[in-house]
Formats: sequence, C-alpha cells, structure tokens
Amino acid sequence: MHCLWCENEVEFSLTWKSLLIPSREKVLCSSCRGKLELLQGERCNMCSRVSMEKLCSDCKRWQSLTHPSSLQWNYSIYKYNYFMKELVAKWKYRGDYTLGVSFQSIFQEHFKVHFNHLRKSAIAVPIPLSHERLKERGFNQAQMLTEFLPIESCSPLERLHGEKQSKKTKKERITGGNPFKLKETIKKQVILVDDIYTTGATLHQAARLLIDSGCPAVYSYTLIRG
Amino acid sequence: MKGYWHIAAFAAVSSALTVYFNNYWLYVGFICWIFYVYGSKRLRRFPLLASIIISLFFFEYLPTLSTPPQSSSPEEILTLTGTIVSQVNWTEKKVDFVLHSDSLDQKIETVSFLKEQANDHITHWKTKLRYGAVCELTGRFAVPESSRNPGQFNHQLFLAKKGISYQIVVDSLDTISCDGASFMDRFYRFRDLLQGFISQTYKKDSTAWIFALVFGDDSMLSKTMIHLFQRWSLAHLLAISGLHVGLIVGFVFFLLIKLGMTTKEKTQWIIIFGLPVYAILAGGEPSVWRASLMICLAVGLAKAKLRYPLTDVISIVFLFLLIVDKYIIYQVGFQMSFLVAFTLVLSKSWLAKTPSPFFVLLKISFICQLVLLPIQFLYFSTFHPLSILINILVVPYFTLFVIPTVFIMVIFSPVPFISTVIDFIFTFIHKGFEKLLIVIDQVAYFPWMTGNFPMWSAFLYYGLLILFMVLEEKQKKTNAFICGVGLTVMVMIIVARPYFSPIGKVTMLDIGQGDAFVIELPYRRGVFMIDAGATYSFHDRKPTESVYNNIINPFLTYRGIQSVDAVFISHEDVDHMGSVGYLLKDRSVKRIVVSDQYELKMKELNEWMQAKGEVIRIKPYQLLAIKGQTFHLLSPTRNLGTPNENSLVILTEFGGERWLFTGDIGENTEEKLLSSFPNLSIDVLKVAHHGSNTSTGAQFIKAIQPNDALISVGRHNMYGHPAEEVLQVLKEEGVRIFRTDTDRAIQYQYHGDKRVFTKYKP
Repeated sequence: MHCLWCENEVEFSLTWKSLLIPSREKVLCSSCRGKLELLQGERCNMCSRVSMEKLCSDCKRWQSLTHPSSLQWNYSIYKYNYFMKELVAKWKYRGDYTLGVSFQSIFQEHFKVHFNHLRKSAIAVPIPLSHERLKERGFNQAQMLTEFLPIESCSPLERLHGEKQSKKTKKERITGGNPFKLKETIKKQVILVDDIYTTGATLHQAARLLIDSGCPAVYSYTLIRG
Repeated sequence: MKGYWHIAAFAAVSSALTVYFNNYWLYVGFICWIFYVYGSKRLRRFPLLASIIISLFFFEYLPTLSTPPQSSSPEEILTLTGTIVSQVNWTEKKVDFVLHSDSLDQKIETVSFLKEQANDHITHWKTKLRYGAVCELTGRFAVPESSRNPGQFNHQLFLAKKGISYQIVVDSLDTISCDGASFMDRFYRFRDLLQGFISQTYKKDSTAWIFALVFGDDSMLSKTMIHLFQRWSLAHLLAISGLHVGLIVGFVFFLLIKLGMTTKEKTQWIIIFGLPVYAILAGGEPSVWRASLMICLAVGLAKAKLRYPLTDVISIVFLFLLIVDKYIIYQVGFQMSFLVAFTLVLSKSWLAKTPSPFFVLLKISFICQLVLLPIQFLYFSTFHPLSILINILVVPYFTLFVIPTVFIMVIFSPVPFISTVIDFIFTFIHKGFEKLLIVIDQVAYFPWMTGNFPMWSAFLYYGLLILFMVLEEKQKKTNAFICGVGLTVMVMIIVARPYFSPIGKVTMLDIGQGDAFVIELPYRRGVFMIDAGATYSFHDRKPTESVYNNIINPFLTYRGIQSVDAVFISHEDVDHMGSVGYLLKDRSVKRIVVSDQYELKMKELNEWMQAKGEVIRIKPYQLLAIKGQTFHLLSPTRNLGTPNENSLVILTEFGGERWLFTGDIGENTEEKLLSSFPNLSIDVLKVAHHGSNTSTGAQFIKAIQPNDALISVGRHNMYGHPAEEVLQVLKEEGVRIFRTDTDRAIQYQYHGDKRVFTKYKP
C-alpha cells in the first residue's frame, strides 16, 4: 500500500495491540497521519470547540438566537489545521474521492464512543449539496461520511443553490435565510453529518427545519471543527 | 502477503501445538480466529488462504513424538552401516554423534565411552570420525532410556525431539571403521582447529568462556556455573543469540567501513555470506541461526530496496528453519529464541517511548522474563522473580565486556604478549564476577518452584500477558496494573497449588538398588523423606552425586519442595543414606532422625552440623510427632548386631492405612517384632532389604497381613533381588506387589477414604 497523500509506502508495524486483532489497512502513512491533529483537552459541550468554558461564547449566542435550541450538540474529531485544509481541498474541491476513505475508521471509532446511545433510535442525515454544486464536484462528502456509519440514513433535506458557504462572512452566514428545504418529515432523532463545523450556521439551520417539522431531537457529527 | 507473514507463522505454530498436544481444539481455535480477522476486514483473501494452506502443510509435515515400544529384550548386539549426520562431540569421557542408517532408515545416537588408555589414539580417531563419513560399527543397540521418576530427565523424549528413536553403545572405538567426509566437515574441522589453538593459548577458565561465547560449546564450563545461569534465567547469555550476532555485525561494520577497508555495499555482501559460515562455526544452535538469518534477510531485503516489517523477517526465518529441520520446533533453544525475539519486535514502540536507558533495560528484562516464564517452569522447574534485576546487571556486563573481550581474545590469540595480558585482565575481572554471582545465589536465592505448569494455565497466562501489554501500550495504567496483579496471583496460585491440595502423597522413588521415599502431607503441612540412597563409586570411595542430581533433586523441584521437615535414615548403608549429604547442602532439612544404634562418622557429623538441622536419636517405642504426623519406632530396641538388623522400623498412618517401613531388617528382627507386637497388623509394607530372601518370612507376612507391598529394587541388580521365595510368599498371601524395577516410581495418593497407588508413566 502507498499513502494516498504522499505516495510513500505505508509501513506496517505489529504491536501488542494488533497481535490478536490486527489493525485494518491504513491508507495514510504514519507521518501523514501524524500531521492530522485530534481535538484534545477541555471542549465546549455544545460544539466540540477546544475551550476552557463548558459553553463557549459562540454557543451562548446561538442559544440566545434560537430558543429553544435547535441543535442538541455537535461532536467533531479533528482540528482544521494547515494539513487538514490541504487534505480537504484535494478531497472535496479537487474531487479526490478515495482520499475520504482515510477518515473511515476514525469516523467509525468515534461514532461508537460518542453516539452509541443513539445507535438504535437515531437516523443519520447528510447535509446535502445543491444540484449545481453536486454536478460540479461529482460527490457529496457528507454523504460519503454518512455511509461509513453503522446506522440507517436518509436524505430529507434539499439545498437551494446559493453562494458557497466558505465565501460568506460569519455575519452573512448566521443571519442569512435558511438555504434548506424539507422534502419529507422525520419523526425519529436525527444525527446530521457533515465534513466541517465552522460557525455552525449550516447545521443549526438544517436542525431548525427538522425540529420545526416535528423531529424530536437533532445532533450533529462532523469530521472537523473549524 | 507483506505485513502478514506473522499470521502464516501463527498458522505453523497452531499446527505444531495441535500435533504436540494432540488436541484439535487448538486448531479449531486458530481457524475461528483467522476467519474472524478475515470477516472483520482486517485480512485480505490471499494471506487468509496462504495461512490456511501453510497450517495444513505443517499439520502433515511436523512429526509426532512417537516413542518406540520398550522391547522385551532390552539390548542386542548389532552391526550397522551408516553416515555420520551430526558434529562429532568429544569430551574427556565419551564421544557421541548421530548416525543415519540407510538399512533401518533411522537416525541413531551413537556413543562410545573412552577408556583411559585410548587417549593416545584419539587424534587418530578424530581424523576418522568426521561429518559425512560412512561408518560401519558394532555395538549394543537399544531403545534409549526414558524417565523412571516424576521430574526426571527423559532421555528417550530428548532424543525423540531430535528425530532419534534408537541408541547404540560402542564398546571400543576399534570396532568402528569409517571412510570419507562431506563438504560441511571442513567447517567443523576448521572449528576444531581454532578451538585447539585457543585452548593452547589461553588459560582454562578463559578458554571455557571463549568456547561458550564464540563457538557455542559450553562443555568446558563447569556444571555449577551453567546451573547457576539457568537458575537465574541467564542461560540466554550462554547461547549465542541476537545479542552476540548483533555485536559481531556492528563490529564488522565498524571495522570495515569506518577504517575505510571496503564500501558499505561490499560489507553487506560480506555479512550476507559470512554470517551463515559463522553460524556453523558457532555450533549451529537454533538461536545462532535465527539471529544470523534474520540479519542476512534484513540486509538482503534492504539491498533489494524492499521494505518488510521486522515481524515478517522473523516469521519468514521461522518458517524457513522449520522447513529445513522439522524437529527444530521441539528444541528449547528454538522456542525461547523466537519467543523472545518476537516479543522484543512487538514491544519496539513500547520501548521507544521510554526515555531513560536504564528503564529500557528494565523493560526488556521484564518482558523477556515474563514471556519465558511458562517455558522456564516447564524445562527448569524454577523461576526466580529477582532474575529480572540480575539480568539488568549481567546483560550489560556481558554486552559491553565479556562478549567483546572473548572475540578480541580470538583475534589476538596468535599475538604472544598481548594475548597473555588480555587473558590475565579477563580472568581477573571475570573471576570476580563469578564469585559475585555465587554470593548473590547464596544470599538471595528464593525461587518459585514447580515443574507442573499445566497447558490450560499456560494459555491463560499468555492471554493475560497479551492483555497486560495491550493495556500498557494504550497507557491505561490502572487496568494494566490490575491485569499485572492478576498475572502475578495466577503464577503464585500455580506455584502454591500443593498448599491448597487436600491430597497427601507418598512416593517411592526408583533410584535403582536403594531406598528413597518422599512423603507430602495434605495441604503440604509437612514433607518427610525416609531414606535417600545413592550408588557407591568404588573409584572415589564415596557415594556418587548422580542419584541426588538426576532423581531426588529433580523430583523435589518438580513438586516445588524447598525444605524437608525430617529425613529418617534407616541405617548407615550408602543405598539408604548416600544422598543425604547432597540433600543437606542443597535444601533446608529441619530434622535428621536416626536410631540409637546409628554409627555416626565424623565426616557425617560435620556435614549435619553445618546444615543446621536438628539430629534426633529416636528411642525405642518412641512416638515422634512432627507436623501432625506420628511416627512410631518399633525397632531397634537394642543393638541387634549388624547395621541392617539395626534399621529403623517405623509405623505410621497415611489416610487411615497403616504403613510399616522396615529398612533392611532380616528375618530375626521380623520375628522379634512379632513377639513384641503379636497383634501387629499392617496395610502397606515396605518390603525389607529390597526383597532379599533373608527377610520377609512367611510367618511375618501371615501375621501382619499387608494388602500392598512395596519393593524398592534396581533393575538387573547383581544380588538377584527380589528373591523368588519372597514374591511367592507375598503372592500366596494375596498381597499386591509394587516394585520399582518393573513399575518405575510408585505413588500413593490419599484423600479422605480414597486411596490409590499409581505407577509412574513417562
């Protein structure tokens, strides 16, 4: 195997951990894996942001804006560091679909730890792309991540075409109109899945829509906390 | 397959275990595991299929250890023709080698004991007996001896593990005629030549260490030293292994490259071709081959620009060696070497996390001792917890001083003055080390002993050990600690099992013509011996150590017995007390019980005094209670004339059965016993005087009415014991007879009202 990023050979080393239960094949080499940074230490309970406070200032604002809160909480795995930015750019914008596979095992592992209690009762919903954007990119990264999860999923949301979220300012994102439309209502708990949580606007808006249509609770699971 | 060779090696190991234990569940377990790994997408289809095929192959390929049936006629004179297929080992007393006979299609161990006058001809014979030579020889052909007592070394099994099922003893070298030699012989002759040269250059002590550490020949080291190394789990230093080979390669690299003699490329080729040659010169033990081939393969792969993980390298070498010699799997050296090497490879990242070199050493020593523990118990019956610390001291000393020095000594052996100086310095320092080790052994030797480490507990042990290491690796300290405690407790329970066992044991050891009984009370409340005989050496005019070393000591160790509460010595004949001296030197003996008539020699008295045991002269009719067991002295009540007649006659009870130990008393004393104790009734009788016709009169047997009779007697003894009359008397009275010459050791076990005699089966 060669590393999907740097194309060096992925070295294999057996340790006590992988003696009886061998580890699955890694698609990134250890030096590239080392450049990915996990979120660690004290975090905001709401949005997974690294923060000393139990509730970060952003989340306090979200709570004051939308009452009662639409999104229960968000969980993310990685920091959005320089290497991650490059990785995501190649994966998402330059269409390297397979690169997403490198997140498969960690996305599954963390799901088992943090969402296990929702495993039976919840359904996973990927944040959709608009038709135009999907055509442009060829695949939906949120859809890809959703498929890694061991639970049922469906796509009740539809996105209206507009400016890319990453091209908008924070204020525009938070105050902008809801870019989503609901195709069907869901009566189960929902885990929204997306690649990145930046300001949380997208996820909160999607959650709002689901809650308003009678969904009991909405959580979100994102790969990266921006 | 890259990255998955270790799974193929596991496959081979699971087949080997299945074949050895003849337990198919082990194989089923492996198949379940590998399919689980495949099913959870951790293994691709090719390594899965390859591993299963490999396991099936080894299933067929690996030999079972079939022991040949003991033939009724134990020996026959036979003339054989065959090829010498091993090194020829010369020691002062004997020469041995393995002969492959084409007509029998068997490997045969050939031994010839050297007579003193043969010394002049040895040089002549050394040029004849060579690897690959075709020989014709005549000798006594036999199935090798198996063990006759629990814990005793089983020569038959030992040879079976080398694929040898027969033995031939050649009386005189003159009956051997040999011709030719094979290519490999050149290496052995070169080795002989080097060894001869070295033994002339250096003093005997240095030579012994050079032979052991450079040529893999420890025959010159003293038995005490080897034993000491085994007791302290240091034996790995005596085997040439990764440590030595690594040092040699490092040294060669340094010499050739740093001094600019060759390029790196050439040096790599030198190593690839040179190391196998060294492996042969170093005696070709499995550990040398493992280390050498691993380095050769690693260097070769690096040259080919292929990057294989170390686990693959070690696994490929493992499979290769197994295919070359299928019996190698049964060799202790092979098992230990691979187990340790594999463990260290697995622990690489765990060790890398440790900053201080001292703790790295500690961790290496710790994990190696842990992983070897079941094997240590199985082969050496003892484990010493402090050996982990001793290793930390001794391993660096060997790595930094002893091993480099012995190689330097080999290199400088042709240079007169320097060699003498190095010899002097080495002997000076190393003598100090040997003394220190002996002192440590005297002060701090508190081993855990048991020869009984059952298979299920070995599996449980390794399961816990792996779990412990996984938790340690994940830095889950608390859980790892709990697991470590579990591991320790488990080993302690196994060692302490006799103390929990409600079953009492009386063992009549088969020491040949002589008596030795070991009594273990239930819950190990007390341990007693009645007699500890030895064979007498007419040459040295004293009892030989062999019965103690080969039978009594291994048995006591196997049973985890470190101290004896009392030794009863029936009388002063060597076949009843010859091993007592050795026992006192080796183990703590609290009491020595003899009769009033026992004639104590000065030498004996000194030995007994030094051993700090209490000497009890038991009085006639005295009831002696030790650790809750009551011994009743029935005889001698006065001097009855001869040592034999003056034997202790002891009555005691085991599990409600009355036992009578009679030493070597004759019919006279038997009659006296009957007149003093007319109502004497016995369940188990130790038949007096090895079943001689001077004892065990019909009157006596009719009167005491035993159910079982124990006869301790040597096979083919020159006295014709046991006498036909005695056997006849016992048979007529319906007494069940157990005798060591035909039944081997006899063990009596009692628990509540359950009592059972068993004959030892090897």
